[in-house]
Amino acid sequence: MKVAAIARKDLLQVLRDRRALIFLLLMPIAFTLFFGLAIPSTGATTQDARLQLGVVDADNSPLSVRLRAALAAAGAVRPEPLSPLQARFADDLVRRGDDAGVLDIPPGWGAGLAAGTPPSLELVADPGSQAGMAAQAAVGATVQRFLMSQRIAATLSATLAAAGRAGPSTTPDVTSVLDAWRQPPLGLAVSEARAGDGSSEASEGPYDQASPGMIVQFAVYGLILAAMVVVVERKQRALARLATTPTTRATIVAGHALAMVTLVFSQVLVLEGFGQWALGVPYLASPLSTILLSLALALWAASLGMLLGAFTRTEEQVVAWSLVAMFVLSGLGGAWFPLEVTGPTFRAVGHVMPTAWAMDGFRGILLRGAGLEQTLRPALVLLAFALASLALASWRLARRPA
Amino acid sequence: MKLLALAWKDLQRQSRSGLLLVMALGAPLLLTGLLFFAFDSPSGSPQIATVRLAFTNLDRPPAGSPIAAGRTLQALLSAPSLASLVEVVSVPDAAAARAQVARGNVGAALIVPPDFTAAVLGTAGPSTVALIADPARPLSAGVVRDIVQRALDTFSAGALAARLTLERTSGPLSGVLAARAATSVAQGLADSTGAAGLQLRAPPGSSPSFAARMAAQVMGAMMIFFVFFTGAQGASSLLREQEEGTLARLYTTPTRASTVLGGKFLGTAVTLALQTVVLLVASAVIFGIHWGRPLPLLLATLALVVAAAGFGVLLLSFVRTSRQAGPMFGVVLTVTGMVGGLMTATFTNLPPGFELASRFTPQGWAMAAWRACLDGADLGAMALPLAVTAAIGVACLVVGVPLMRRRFALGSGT
Repeated sequence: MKVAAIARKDLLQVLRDRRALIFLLLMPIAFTLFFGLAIPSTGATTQDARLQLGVVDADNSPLSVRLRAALAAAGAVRPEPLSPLQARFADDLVRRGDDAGVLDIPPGWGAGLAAGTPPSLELVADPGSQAGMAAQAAVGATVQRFLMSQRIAATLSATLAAAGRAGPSTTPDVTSVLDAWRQPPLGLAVSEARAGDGSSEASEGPYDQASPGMIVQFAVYGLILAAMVVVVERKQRALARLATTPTTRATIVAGHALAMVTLVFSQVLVLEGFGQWALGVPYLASPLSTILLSLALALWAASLGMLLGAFTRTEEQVVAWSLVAMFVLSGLGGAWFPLEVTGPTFRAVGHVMPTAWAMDGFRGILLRGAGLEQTLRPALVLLAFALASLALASWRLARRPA
Repeated sequence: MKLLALAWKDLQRQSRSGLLLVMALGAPLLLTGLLFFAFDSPSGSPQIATVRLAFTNLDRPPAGSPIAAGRTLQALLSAPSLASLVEVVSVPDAAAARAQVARGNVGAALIVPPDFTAAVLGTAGPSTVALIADPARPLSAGVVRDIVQRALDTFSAGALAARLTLERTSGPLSGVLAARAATSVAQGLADSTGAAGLQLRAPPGSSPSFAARMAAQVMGAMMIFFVFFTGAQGASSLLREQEEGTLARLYTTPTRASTVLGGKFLGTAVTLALQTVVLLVASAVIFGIHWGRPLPLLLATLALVVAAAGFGVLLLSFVRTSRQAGPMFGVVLTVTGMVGGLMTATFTNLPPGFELASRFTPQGWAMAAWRACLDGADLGAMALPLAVTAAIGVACLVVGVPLMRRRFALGSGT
């Protein structure tokens, strides 16, 4: 009963302060909406998400026109013809990021390709930027098909000539080989795997990273509240007064922890509800998994808050260390961007963070439809972190004078 | 002298605040450092994790077939040159491979159909290879798709040669010619270098690495964000002085109201300038950021200081207590920072409207000036963002100072 009474007091204390609601609910919602809008998924918008590729076609032959069409059809880039005047500023266009790259098709390229000696194309792109690398990959793949077609045409001509079968109706040119590529002998069908029902065509929505990312980040904000309760109680001598009553330290710690777990768990559930019903993020794809993971996240965030409260002395220290913890844990744990896009060392370090396990769990549920079995591992890791933090906090509070 | 004394006192007080130091210097460097650490690599390009690829080979080559294309494809994907990108794991059946992807044990699964070799030889119709991707790892899926597509294109080239030969010739030698053409094409492609025909050229002055470019943009954005935060915190020292009673004590001395305000403003401006200079130097040393030419850099710093100090004064004129100040500054600066593009500094292909919206905030104009500075733009190109950034700061002061005089009864000072 004492545990519940302490928890109730803490909750009343926190909820009386309207400012807490701003940071617990309004800020994460605002951030989620903003980042979801800033990174629209290709399926959820009518906007052309292809990278703009400037094309200087000094050749303007049937084959160069065809190359431009093939680049457009490939889907990764949107070729935009550049005038000779614009072409003089190709470097600036790329450097400023107006164009992901500028492709220069020299005069005589088409004729050279047909003859088997095409002059080299030049792609101006920044190899240090993601857009530059994507443009390089897209242009490279399309140009490869044109070069292959030339090789096929040349080889066939030589083979047929050697067999005495060469003639205008039998010897293919580059154009006819390119036509044949429209129905390639080998195709690639890409689908996505989801738990339970095999594969599907589902794709990632705009909020499938932003929503769980902000939930995890602002659950860490719970640190400030949890730690502040401990510090303020100590500062106002409430802890000392409580110590004069027949209440054990363990009861006090448990009461505070219960309040913070309740608070963070409620916060996470409200944000998940907003994600599910307002943004279409499928938290209910596996409700039990979502609840299990949310509870584990709340336990860990509250425990870390208690730990912070046990080691800090002033409110200013609590705010400073909570902010540092929020930035480090969110950034390293993949709350801002998937760890998949980072380097190997960062990924390895990131997975030492409990936040990375929380993000793994959420992305598994949202994108793979992971069930309880697959969510158990990240939840257990979070619980282990929670127990370790709580044990350390209890030890510190037991040693520290009230 | 009194003005300097007031400014000096504020500077000392701020330098003793651990929270302010964390927010003014620690946070921007920490955030930039995290992103630099995330995306830095020896090659200078972003890296992705090696993708584990479950390979299910259901290929059944026709009797007497000279090749087993499924096995060749597996060997191709297992080549040492691709080892840093793909790790191929054999999985006997398609259902098991799909389950491995669904559990997150592998990044993707490739299922080669029974008629794969027949399609390569041109003795069967088109064949489709299935790639099952992990939706939680879209980047890995994209890398595998590109690699597999290139490999399939190589196989397809041979098969196309065979198909075209069969279409254009007849008679008993047709099949032999088709096989000869397919082999010849495949051999030629194997001998050729993949990069031929396309030369890449980096524009002069482009950043040497992806991480360095990202660090420069993030550092610029975070510097602006936290300089505005410090500006607001600096202005709120007046509020604290009022609550602590020191402002009233100051009124009892022969100090003019304009001296009090001037001293506060000078203290804040010097703090902001120091913060900016320390961040510029520290980020140049730690992340190797080249901030551009000295004169544009100096003007960008001055414009930022004026805008941040002015915006802080304006914000303060709407706040009643220091308890209100924290949340209000946090919310207003976060929202204007987001709209101003500080949180999306490294994003490409932002939806239309984001750029336009950023021009309604002082942070958006400050970011435009710093971007131009980073790009090495000359003063002519920077004139507009610099002028607008500074003008917003001055406008905020023009509106905010009279409000503050009324709010803190500064007009009554002697």
